Amino acid sequence: MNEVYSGAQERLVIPGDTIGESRDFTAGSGVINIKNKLIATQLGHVKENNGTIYVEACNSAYMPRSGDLVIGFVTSMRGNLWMFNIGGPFEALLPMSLSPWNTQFGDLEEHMGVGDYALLRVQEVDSQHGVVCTMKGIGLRKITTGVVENIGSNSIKMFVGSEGNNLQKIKKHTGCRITVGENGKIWIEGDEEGISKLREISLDFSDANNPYPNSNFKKSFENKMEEI
Amino acid sequence: MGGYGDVELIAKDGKRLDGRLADELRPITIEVGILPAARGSCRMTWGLNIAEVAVYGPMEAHPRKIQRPDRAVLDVRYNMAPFSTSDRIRPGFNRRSREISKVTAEALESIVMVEMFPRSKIRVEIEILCAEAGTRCCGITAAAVALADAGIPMKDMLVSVAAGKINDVVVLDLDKAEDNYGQADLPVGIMPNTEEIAFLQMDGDLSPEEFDLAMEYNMKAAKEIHKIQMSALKSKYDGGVQ
Repeated sequence: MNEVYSGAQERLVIPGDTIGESRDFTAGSGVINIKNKLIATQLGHVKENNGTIYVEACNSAYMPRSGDLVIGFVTSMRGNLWMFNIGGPFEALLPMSLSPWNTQFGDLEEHMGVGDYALLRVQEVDSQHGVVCTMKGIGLRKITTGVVENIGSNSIKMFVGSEGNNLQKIKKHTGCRITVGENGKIWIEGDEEGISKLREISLDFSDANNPYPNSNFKKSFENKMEEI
Repeated sequence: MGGYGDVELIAKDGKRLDGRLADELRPITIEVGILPAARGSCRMTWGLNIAEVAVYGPMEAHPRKIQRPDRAVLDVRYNMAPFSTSDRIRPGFNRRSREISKVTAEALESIVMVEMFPRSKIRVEIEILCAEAGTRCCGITAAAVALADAGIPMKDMLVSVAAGKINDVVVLDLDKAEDNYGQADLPVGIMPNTEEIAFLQMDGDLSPEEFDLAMEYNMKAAKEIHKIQMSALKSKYDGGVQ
């Protein structure tokens, strides 16, 4: 397997595979440089962009980054902050000061309780992976209508399509308003028929046997997109 | 390792009781993604050994006292099912399973890039469903595949394999009779690309020459097993097309 990366073709690599020389490429995400050799650290497809070689991981956990739009639910509360599950390795904090409400210390449950969903933006991720979110911003809100579906953070790119093509098609086909969180969750608002149509599409993604859209799954999704 | 060197374990034609040559492995199969709820999982059969491994995380480490500010903690649990051997095993942790869990965690720490996930925990559950000597090697090899399936960043894969000595002959991959009545056992964890050693244990006695030969067998076998690991992972993620 340890053949050197040869250019445009997409190739599946596993951790430890040599994918190139450091004199030819710069190491991007999922790649480390050991003794001038670029070694893959994750299972995924090798890609290249402007001289940087990286591995697009097949089944990686969602790692929050500053600026990400995410959908999460409240798992617990303290006197002055909510703790959210956003699907990452750590719980995210929403301090009282970054909520859209004028809340008093200890009165957080008046606005959001355990199990409530919200649309948030990641404000800050520190070196210790502490995640702080905000609800101050356009469109950020508590989710009180529609449904939230999980399609997996690895499938977002495919679901949205290049320049949002697939997402536009799905919106038109179902008549639903769709908000895509970068943590792999989508918020769907619409009538029952539209939601069930969208569920037919999203169920394929949330199928536990398809943690990552492999080549067969990609083909069937592309066919489906052409049909609609 | 009974050390009863007088039990005949090698026939006159040089073959072992199960018909293998000295440097031959038992049949190995690996299946990836067998547990839908786990982030990564794998089922490995190695001779009559069957191991299933599930990987969860990275997740917040609980209790908080086990958190490390600069790296993730690998929480490995190796367990043999009560029905895995002919003598029923009492359920729960025992001295042996604790030792193997610790050894496995330390071996896996040398490949997993734990520094990428400070304060978190990666849970690895190894369940031995059927045992026939070499379960720790089977568990560690399967755990490396399950970790790769879970998308955990790793510097290399890890293959564990054992060589040993029976009737004064160095052989690869001991089966149950060879393990019970042989003279030595040398399980090793090898990073197949860099050929670094992640763990090494030895039971019994080997001369320096025998040790070198055992390591040579182990290294050759590690490359073979690595190919099986790769094809198992690729067959899942490339939609069965390779």
